[in-house]
Amino acid sequence: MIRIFIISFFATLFTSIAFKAPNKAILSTSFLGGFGSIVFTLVSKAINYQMMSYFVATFFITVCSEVLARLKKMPITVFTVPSIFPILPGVKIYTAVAYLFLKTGEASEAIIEALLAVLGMAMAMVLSSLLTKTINKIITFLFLKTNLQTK
Amino acid sequence: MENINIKEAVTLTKLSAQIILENNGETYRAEETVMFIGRSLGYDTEVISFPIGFIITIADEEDTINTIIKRIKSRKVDLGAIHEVNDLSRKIVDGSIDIHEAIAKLRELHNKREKPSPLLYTAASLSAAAFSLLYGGGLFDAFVSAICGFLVQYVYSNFDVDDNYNFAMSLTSGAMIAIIAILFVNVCNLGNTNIIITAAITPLLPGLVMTTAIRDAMRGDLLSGLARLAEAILVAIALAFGIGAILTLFYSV
Repeated sequence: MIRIFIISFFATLFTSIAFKAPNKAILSTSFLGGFGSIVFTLVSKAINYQMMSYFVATFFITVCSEVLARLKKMPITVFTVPSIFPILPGVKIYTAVAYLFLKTGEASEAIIEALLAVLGMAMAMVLSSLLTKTINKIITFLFLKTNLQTK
Repeated sequence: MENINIKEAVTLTKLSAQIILENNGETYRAEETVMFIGRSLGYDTEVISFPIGFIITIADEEDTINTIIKRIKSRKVDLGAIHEVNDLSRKIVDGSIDIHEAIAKLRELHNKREKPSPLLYTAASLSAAAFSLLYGGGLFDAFVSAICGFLVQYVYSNFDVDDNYNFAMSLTSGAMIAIIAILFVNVCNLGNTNIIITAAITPLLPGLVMTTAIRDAMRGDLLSGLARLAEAILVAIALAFGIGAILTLFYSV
């Protein structure tokens, strides 16, 4: 577990440097990447369904990066993008493609696995974005007594 | 508000939107930035933006209407630039920065053609090495992945990537990675080809583009979401093609 945290920490660190992220965000992004990887490992040990671990890990990462973005006043993609790189299903995508070229008959399972993983991550991002918007609306309604409209 | 020339307002909004879109920023972010800046300067602003360009219209009280259209020819990955534009637009709306200084900073940000620093190359190679360790490789795998990462970053930094060559770049990167991986593994008889190839392509996978696609689709700009999704799929397919071609050549000869 510690090993996974350290390797993901460094992987996210170097990825965010390679993407030229602003200097103040690099340390927190690396920690977020490490913790996201740990959440991913824990969930995949607990539940047998792969898509769920991608979903939960990405949800955790996007919610934390929303919080961090409001704290540090930076756009959200600065925190999200390097942190999901350790979780990105690189092996699955490569296997899908390699099977497509080398063992074409058995490629369909691998392709569907890769697709489900990416879909799980996409759904997590969508849901967390929706959650943040709703919470924002509720907070402004409660504290500023503005109209509860969906605009 | 202040007496800002409409031409300066146009330049300001044009540069901000251009920098955001050129760095794979979300279209809703570009539109919101332009609206904030235009409204805070007291002008009537309208904007439409796409991943490939934008149209801004600014009108003042005497009904002078200025419209500017800009086509974005190439996109790169630079998270820091989006943050800078965000920061600058906040300061402009607060009024805590001089407009001419803001325009100068934006121009400098846009024309930044910095030579790729050694830090960038180091970070690229070390990130590929770290990914190979994450996928269960050993030290030799990490070493070869680092070489692949370095070469890929070198190619991307020294060739001016235009939209025309996006597909070709992914193709050649995939092929290059496969060639190097197969070469090293078979000459030195250590390591695992699959792990090295997977680790070296992970930084090339369209993570930023996918994230931007989803965030744009959530904000209602389905055009941008779908276009970026198609770009992500094309990049993945091109990478796959490059790798697959080399693998087929090697394993069937």
